[in-house]
Amino acid sequence: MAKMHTPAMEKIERKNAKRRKPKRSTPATEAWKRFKRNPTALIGLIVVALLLLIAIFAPLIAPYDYQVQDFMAMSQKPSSAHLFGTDQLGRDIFSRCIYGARYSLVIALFCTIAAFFSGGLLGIIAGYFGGKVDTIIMRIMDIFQAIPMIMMAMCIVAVLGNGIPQLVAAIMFASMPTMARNNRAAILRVRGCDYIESSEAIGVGQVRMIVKHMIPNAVGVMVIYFVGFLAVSIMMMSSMSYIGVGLAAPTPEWGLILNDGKAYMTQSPYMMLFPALCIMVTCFAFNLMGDGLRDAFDPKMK
Amino acid sequence: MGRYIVKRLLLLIPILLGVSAIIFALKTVTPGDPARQILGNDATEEQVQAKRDELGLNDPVIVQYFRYIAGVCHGDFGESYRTGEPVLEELVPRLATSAKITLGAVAIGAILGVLLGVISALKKYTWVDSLVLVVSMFFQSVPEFVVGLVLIMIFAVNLHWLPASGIETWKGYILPMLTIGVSSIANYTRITRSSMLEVLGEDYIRTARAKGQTESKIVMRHAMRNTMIPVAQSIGTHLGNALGGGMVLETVFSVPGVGKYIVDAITARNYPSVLGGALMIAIILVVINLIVDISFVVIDPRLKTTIIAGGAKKPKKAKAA
Amino acid sequence: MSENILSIKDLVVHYETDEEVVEAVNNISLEIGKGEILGLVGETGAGKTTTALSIMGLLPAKVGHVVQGSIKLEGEDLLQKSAKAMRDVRGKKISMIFQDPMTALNPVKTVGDQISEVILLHEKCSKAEALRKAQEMLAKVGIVPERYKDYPHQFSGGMKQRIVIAIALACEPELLIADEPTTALDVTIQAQILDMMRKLQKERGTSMILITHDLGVVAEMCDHCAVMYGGEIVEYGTVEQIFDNPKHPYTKALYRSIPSLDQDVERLHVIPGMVSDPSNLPSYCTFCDRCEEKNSHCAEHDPWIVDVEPGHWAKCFQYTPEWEGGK
Repeated sequence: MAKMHTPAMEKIERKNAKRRKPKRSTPATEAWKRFKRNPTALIGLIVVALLLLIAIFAPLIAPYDYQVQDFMAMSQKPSSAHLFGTDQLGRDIFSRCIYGARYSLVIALFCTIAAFFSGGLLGIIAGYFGGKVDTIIMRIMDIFQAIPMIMMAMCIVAVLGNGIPQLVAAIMFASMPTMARNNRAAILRVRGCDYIESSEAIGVGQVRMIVKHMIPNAVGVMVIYFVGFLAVSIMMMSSMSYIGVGLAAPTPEWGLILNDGKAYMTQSPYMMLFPALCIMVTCFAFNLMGDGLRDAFDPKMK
Repeated sequence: MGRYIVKRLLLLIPILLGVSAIIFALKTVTPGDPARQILGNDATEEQVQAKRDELGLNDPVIVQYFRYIAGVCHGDFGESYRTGEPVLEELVPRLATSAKITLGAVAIGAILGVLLGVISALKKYTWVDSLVLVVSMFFQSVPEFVVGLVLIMIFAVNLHWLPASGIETWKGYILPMLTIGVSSIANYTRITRSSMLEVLGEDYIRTARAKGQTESKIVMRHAMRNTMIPVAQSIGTHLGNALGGGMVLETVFSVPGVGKYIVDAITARNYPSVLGGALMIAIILVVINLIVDISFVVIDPRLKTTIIAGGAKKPKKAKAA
Repeated sequence: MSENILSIKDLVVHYETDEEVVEAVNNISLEIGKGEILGLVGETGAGKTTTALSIMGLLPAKVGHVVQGSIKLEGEDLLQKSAKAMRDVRGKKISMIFQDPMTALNPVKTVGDQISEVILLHEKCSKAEALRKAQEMLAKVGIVPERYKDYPHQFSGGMKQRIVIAIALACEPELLIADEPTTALDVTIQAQILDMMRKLQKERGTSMILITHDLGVVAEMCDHCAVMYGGEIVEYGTVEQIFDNPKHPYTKALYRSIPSLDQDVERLHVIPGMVSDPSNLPSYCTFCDRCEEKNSHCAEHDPWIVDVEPGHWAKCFQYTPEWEGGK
């Protein structure tokens, strides 16, 4: 009902008529609804899902073994036999890139989980307990933050040596201050909210408060950090591999493949083009997805 | 104001002590013997021992650490294991190179980013807005070294306009600057856009409209300066990040800057150089942040009182709405 | 009423978003005489500010729409004017004082700049001259002119509102719209600001629309009063008529909800129910659901305006002669 009908109202009424029964709305379903409406976020999600499939089924998709050197087909331009061409040792770059997805995604996942359990946990502890604990943890993090992330990671690789676990440890350590800071802020934000204070005021129990109020509200932000950090670790990993302090050859890591192609940049630019594209697409997809998640979980933040 | 600056600079001391302690700790646990490294595999065990004594490596770590700190207090950052030259003398010219690139890059990023951010905010929710955001985000999400490599492929390998590496001529600076600058556009665009949108919703913008002011002048005279406050804040962070990111990028472009110096030092286990570089970067970061904070006063007169009084560094964020 | 400076006729303003249409102002007509102060009273969300913004042509872009009606300033329809022509009207012919002086001034510009800006826009004069005029204005609103170099954060709330008033009056507008000018201020400061506004208004013969939810302010300041509810004007008359002889059930309820000093009451009178949801207004009388004097007709038809005495009307079926038929 209304005082005066306008075309705009009719449009909305038509829209409402089409809409099915309202479902139970939780923060998660609300967020998913907003996420779905965001085309760039959806593209990001689809690409990430595709990458996951590629990583899982890499042996089925890759036409060649990523290690096999074919001296009859060295430094070949892209063709139907070798989609992305071959490198100076005759290895199929397409297969190497496909397997690269495996390495990049798995290592990134490990890095992110490790970062959450180290820096993230420190931040949560600092934010939750506050006071002296908070001050001590955050002052130490300040010192760590004065060392650039990549330098820290490189120093740790220098201590531990090359390899996947070492790389994960290095990235975990290097990201500690940022992780701690972000997670602390997330906890503080939830703690400072009026509804937490009002629940406290009406005597909601500690456990109920953490389970019912703080976790659901902090989870949104943490999911955002999680996805965001996946992209950061892929970036760091490939950067480090490229300058020779990440993984060791012949691992088909995208940064390493790029490094392999570096010497042949002038004659065979495709050797660098395809792994570079892989890194670009992956990082972009993760960021699009992360961005969409941020808008979805916190529409006000935009 | 003076007291505020001194207070901020004093905060440097624990950070520098901490940073050097961390690097020192890493140095002691790194496998390999620096003395052996310097002398090579041909040296006899006695020679190595003599070198270790000379470098003070046989003393307890704590003693080494405090000897180093004492040296730093006198401006002695130690000698490079590799060249035997004082680290400080090696660092200073490299610092100048890095500073040029970083400043140029930040200028490119900030100018383009702010411009795009303003356009994006004024055309919000149109295709222009979406395009600007997606494109700038693309450059942000791609690792800098990949952007650098792509630029090398285009401008150096294909077009032969610019050198792929080195900084023998001024042309050599362009690609590294462009790479760091382009990668940071998204950051500025985003901050400018959201800041501008927020400012345009403020009551004083409505006041300006009620005066009969034109939209373009409202943006230029009333909104711009307020919009720039968070942007200026991010310039400080960006300068820091650019210095850190410079490590990979200077390697990509073979630029003899601090970043490449540190990367080479780490790979060669040349710890005096690593330590010197790390301390230098830490000092620069703290000083940059200080300069940025002080420059706020110029943009936002409200902060003058808080800064001079030595109060909170930034106005406290309002409670979550 | 001799000559009308502003006349609003059948104004309907909607806010349209993808989710809903908010009927903010519904078919209101108003006239304001030269040199007169009109009080616009109502609860939050009654459409007072929307009415003011429509007059200024400052409805939020893309969302706010004038669906029908006209707003004539000295015979010229403001709604038909181009954006450029409206810029010449704003600040020069009609000025507006906003609710919150804390946020109404640009924090990074000196107050002198902010006052002289409006002078430079509408009067042909040099920067120095405008600045001199700005200082004069500061003196007029009771601030030391030398403080023109200061920034807004160096002033208190009441002083800021004085500056906002100085900006609004700098070009001697014919109509001043004051949107709750004292709501955000301390009670003691409120009286000072109102006094000053009335003094300046009398001096210059400016017409004024005073938006407020404070009936005391209306009684003190205004000549006429319009009571708004649910985007409609439900009662209009001179201040005396409205105060001595309120007709509409809503106006009456408003009076009852004012705490009385000479009577000891247990509880304050509360108007039952909630303010009507402006995105879902009934097609019948908007106030019906909360009305204490409603009749069966009220839930079926929308009442129309009826004169209850000369210059005093109400929008209620009680005063309709055809009450019986409900038509």
